Amino acid sequence: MSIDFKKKVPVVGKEPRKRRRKVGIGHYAVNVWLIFWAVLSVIPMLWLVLAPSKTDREVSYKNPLSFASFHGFVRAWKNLQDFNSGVLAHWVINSITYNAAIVLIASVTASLAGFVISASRIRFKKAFLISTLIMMLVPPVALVIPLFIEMNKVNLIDNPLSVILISSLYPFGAFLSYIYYSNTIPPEIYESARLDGCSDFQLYSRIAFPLSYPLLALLGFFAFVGNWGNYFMPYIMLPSPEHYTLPVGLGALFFSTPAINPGNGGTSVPILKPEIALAGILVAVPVMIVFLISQKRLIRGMLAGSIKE
Amino acid sequence: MSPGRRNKPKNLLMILMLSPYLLLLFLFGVLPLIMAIINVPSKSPSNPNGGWHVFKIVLHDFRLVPAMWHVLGFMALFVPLMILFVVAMSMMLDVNSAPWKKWVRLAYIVPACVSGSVAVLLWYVLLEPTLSPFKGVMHWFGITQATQIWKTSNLTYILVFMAFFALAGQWILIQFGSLQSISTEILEAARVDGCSQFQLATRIKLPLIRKYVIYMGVLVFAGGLQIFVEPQLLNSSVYHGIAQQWSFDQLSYSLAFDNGNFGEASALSLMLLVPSLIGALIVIFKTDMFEDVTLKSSKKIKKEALEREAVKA
Amino acid sequence: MLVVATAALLGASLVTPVATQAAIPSITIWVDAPRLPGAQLYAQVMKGKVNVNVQLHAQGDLVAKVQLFNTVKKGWPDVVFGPPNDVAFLKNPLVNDALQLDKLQSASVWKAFGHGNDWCILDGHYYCVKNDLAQTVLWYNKTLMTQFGYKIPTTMAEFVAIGLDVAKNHPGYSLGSLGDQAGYSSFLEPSQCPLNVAKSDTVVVINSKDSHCTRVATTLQPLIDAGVLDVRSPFDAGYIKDVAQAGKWLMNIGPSWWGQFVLRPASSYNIPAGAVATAPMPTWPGETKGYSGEYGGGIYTVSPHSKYPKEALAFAMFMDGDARNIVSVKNPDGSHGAPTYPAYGPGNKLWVAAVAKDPYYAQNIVPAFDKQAQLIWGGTKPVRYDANGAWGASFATEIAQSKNLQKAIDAYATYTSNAATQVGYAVVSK
Repeated sequence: MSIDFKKKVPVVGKEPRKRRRKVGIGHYAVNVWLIFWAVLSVIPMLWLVLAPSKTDREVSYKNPLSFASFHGFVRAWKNLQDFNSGVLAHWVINSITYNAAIVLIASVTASLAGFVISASRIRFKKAFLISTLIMMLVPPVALVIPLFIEMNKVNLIDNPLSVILISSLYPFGAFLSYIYYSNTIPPEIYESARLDGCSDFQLYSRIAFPLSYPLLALLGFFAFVGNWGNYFMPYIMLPSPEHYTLPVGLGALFFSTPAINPGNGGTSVPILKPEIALAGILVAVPVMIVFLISQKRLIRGMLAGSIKE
Repeated sequence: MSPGRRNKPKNLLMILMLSPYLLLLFLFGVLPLIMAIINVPSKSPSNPNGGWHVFKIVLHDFRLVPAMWHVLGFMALFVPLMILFVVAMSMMLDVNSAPWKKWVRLAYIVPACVSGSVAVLLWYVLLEPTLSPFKGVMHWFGITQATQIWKTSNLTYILVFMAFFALAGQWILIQFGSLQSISTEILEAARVDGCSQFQLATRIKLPLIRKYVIYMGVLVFAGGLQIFVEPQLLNSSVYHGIAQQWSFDQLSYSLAFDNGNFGEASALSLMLLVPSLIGALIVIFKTDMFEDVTLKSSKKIKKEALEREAVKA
Repeated sequence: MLVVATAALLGASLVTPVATQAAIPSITIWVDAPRLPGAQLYAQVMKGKVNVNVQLHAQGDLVAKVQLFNTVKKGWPDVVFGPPNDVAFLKNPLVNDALQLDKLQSASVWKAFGHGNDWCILDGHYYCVKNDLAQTVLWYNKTLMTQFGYKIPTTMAEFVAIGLDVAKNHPGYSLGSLGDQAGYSSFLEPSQCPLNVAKSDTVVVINSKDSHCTRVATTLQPLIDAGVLDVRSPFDAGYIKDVAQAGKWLMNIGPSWWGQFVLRPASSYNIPAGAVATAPMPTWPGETKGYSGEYGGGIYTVSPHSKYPKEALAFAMFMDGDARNIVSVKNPDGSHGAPTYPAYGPGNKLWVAAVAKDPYYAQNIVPAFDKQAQLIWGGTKPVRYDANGAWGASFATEIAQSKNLQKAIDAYATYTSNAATQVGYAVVSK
């Protein structure tokens, strides 16, 4: 079998595979296992979804996966929403705006970097990849204090830009992009395109970018997942409550409730297990939505790739 | 035209495309890292005169050795479990592409959607035999009291469980994506040659996604060494204090923020970086991670695979 | 550098400049969620006199962040609500974020605290203001006590006698649980066991072999063996379900907030109305006074970096002594007033008036509170390590496994001795 490079560009997606010739018990076993694991993964979330239907007492008493009443959701929502005259909405808006900016900057810079490293003949490639790798491996605790000092120098403490900029460094994404591009586009393609007079930017816009949808979906998704729940960086950089993100705000609210810290003593804030669970759903749903969106993109991107073939 | 002269201005464009990332990397990666290193010998309460012997001070911290055993025990379970499970699961997902698998994949990332203070509550409930949705299973195993679960000797297993649940789904997604990028032709060819699904997975697919698996291995290793979030969550739950300074990173955090010993914290963090880095570099240089000729090597693998099949046939 | 430069410019335009009116002092307050309504009320009350910027922060946030503020030399809030131990950490010269408060208000105000603010006295000076007292008292189920024909114990010997009788004649009923900090505040601390006795910033007494500690172990071990004193945490879901909610709660030694926030809520112990009562602490053998331990009880600290320390302290005193906060402020759950027993004498007089009439309790619970408020054992002092978290880290797991109280106390002593040494204390046995 001869291998023709031009044809053999590993297709990003795949054509619908031929019908299975034999469907053995093995396949059923595999499918059952896949579904079993899926159910196992979803049960904790199911508990979170059902908990707000109950009162705090019913959470301890009733079957953990039972449903009590819709009124429970209304009550839990009201308790959350009423807290500090609706500050929750403010946290949600902060989280959305910061994350939109982070996902955009992080995905674009990382994918461009991955492309350049895989396509160019720049000398310091190895040094670049190693430094990116180091950044992925450095414990974040080591960098927090220097970053804080740095941000203070440019007067960005308590300014959302600090979190946006810091979180936009996406070495994981840059590495992923590099592997992606070097796996999907062989250097020979760039070579021939260069001979055809393509500029480096055209290499990106005409060859790499059209094949990048699945990558961008992947990058965007992981950037979002990684930052949406991020507590540490916004907690350190943004001390004023008006800049709190959802995780930081919820942390400040929840860590003083007896549901999490009974030893803290008394409270007159009606935030107990049902309210925390409801907030948990609030945090989780956007991640799932983003997953579904990026998954769609991923498939569409794959189809686009195969049609071009 | 000589290729050299043609390339020069073009490299400029390339550098321009690289520069936004490079700038971020320098400002928020390299620069703070250098600052962290410079700060190591600075004066602190436990190192009043400053100096590099701060490394020695950290090594004598009474919490270091327990933390080391905790983390090593954790990694011995976590790293192999993650790699084997994730590769196996993504292979299984890739066997055929039924539409329902989209929902299965969504289900796998669900545990990663819960974080922070909500995760504190959720894990507390999950592990509490009177509240847990899994209490039936727990009771079946004879676990009816929280004290059977919440004890320090169990922490390793609990934390492996937590970290595994939170992270496996995302890695399955990535490995599944990498499997998706394998050319159909190769798979068809192998299938025509009578390759079973299992052979297809181990002899064709696995070598082809090797890079991604290695990548994952490095990050899972480093992540395991730096485990922080999970013990911190357990520690701030109802059983406050149970996982205090359990891991290296918790200790480092505590040194910095509880004790104000930024130098010690950086020193510990840098020591942690060394094994990850050595591991990563060995793995990467022993493999073709950095080779330009990706395709050549994968072509070689494919060829070998096909040849092997041919011999068998 | 371009990015940072532009970012800085953008940043400058995004951040609203802080109003710097010289005429009106302005202070920043950090409080946790339960203290938020009171703080917001204070901001309203002071409008035109002091600009009060109220910020919601989790308890202990300052301890996590003060090192960062110190590094960049700005960002310190003026007055902060936090957990009791934080004052030792903040007062440490290396951290330096707790101001000495003696001269900021008149001696008569300090005097009105009685012993209520003793916790905040370090080296003979006030470094914080106690928000509330969490003095332990004996909480009991009056209905059951009458039914079983028990007299309220006034000594530990009587407490043990009841326990052994319960084990024999009413098995399943409980005299409480001690598997976390509760073990300390309910028994070890009232017995004056020296486990956290800071002599100064650098010397702490930790001695689990002291007779005040060993007598606790020998006295209570029979009750543990008999199962009437539970080794689980009082907040353990299993304990709550098997004992408290099953109607088996007879009595336990617990802090002043126990009734409202542990015994009463339906999701917690759910003790029916008309049953709960309090009594003063039982005395340990050979003692004339029944000392209390303390479980919780927050503090306010003022920053030495504050430009308006008097205004900052005034906020703490408002929370502690002003009827508008203590009695009237509207809480998110619809209740009114401060949730816990105010540390400041004149303040708690206002507070107890409402609690004394609460029909939930079988009788007035306040006299025991008031008596014990002046009898909190003064030996326990703020320390710079997490003495409270250490109960979970060492004591709780040891007692759950071995059910041996002395072993668990020793485990705690070993753990905290290490922790204390690590942050620069000399650990002594006397």
